[in-house]
Amino acid sequence: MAPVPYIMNGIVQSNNQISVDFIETNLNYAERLPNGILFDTEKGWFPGVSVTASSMTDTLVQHLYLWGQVSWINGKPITGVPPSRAIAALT
Amino acid sequence: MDADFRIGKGFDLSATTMLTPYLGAGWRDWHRDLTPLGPSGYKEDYTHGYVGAGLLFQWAPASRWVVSANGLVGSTFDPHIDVTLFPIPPANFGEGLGTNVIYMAGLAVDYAITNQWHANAGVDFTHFAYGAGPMLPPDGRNEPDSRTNLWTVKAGFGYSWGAPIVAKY
Repeated sequence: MAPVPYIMNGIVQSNNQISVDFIETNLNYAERLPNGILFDTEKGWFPGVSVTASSMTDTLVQHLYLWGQVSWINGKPITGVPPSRAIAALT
Repeated sequence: MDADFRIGKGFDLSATTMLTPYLGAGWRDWHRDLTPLGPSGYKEDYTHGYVGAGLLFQWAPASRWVVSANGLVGSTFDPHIDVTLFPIPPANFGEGLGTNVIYMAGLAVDYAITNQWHANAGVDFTHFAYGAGPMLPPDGRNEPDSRTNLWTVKAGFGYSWGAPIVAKY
């Protein structure tokens, strides 16, 4: 049987990379009480940034894949909190 | 702030496709500031870790282009909330929350402008939930069940230290 060719293709090259991305995250958060009543929500788009580093090497095994990402977003709550939550916060 | 990590092994399906099973783990910290609500405002700090198993499928449809799709299913661990209320003086409480399933998925495209410089864009989805915390004395306050869905669109640039495209037989 002929040996299977191994090609250092664009996938491996793409997986050896560090990148910086501008991100926009849509958050949809909801709390519910045991009786099913919606208690607290927060929705909206939050801008941020992420840094990603990935590696694919043949050092220990072929195509060992390591990947890490740190992301940070920041913003004000877009939609409010039901009055029940605000009242509860005061009691 | 989120931190996510993967370790896996890629398998060549063909010269232009690769499948990479991986173990994923990470940590999330959400500082929720509701003090803009005024006198009833408060601050919450949600944290949890997660671990799961995922698959990454990558396809190079043409020279310089790589399209990726990934998905992970796992569980959260050590979810916790710290709350700061703002009567005078501020009152604080914290408690552990219930663990639950976490789903993560993503689509991305990478374009090699040169061998080193890349442009990329993508979209990610994450779903997780927290179980209610225990009732705390003296007044039985607790954090109820919650769920969070996150859609993230992203675009940026990268630097690759990978070798140029070569064939080795």
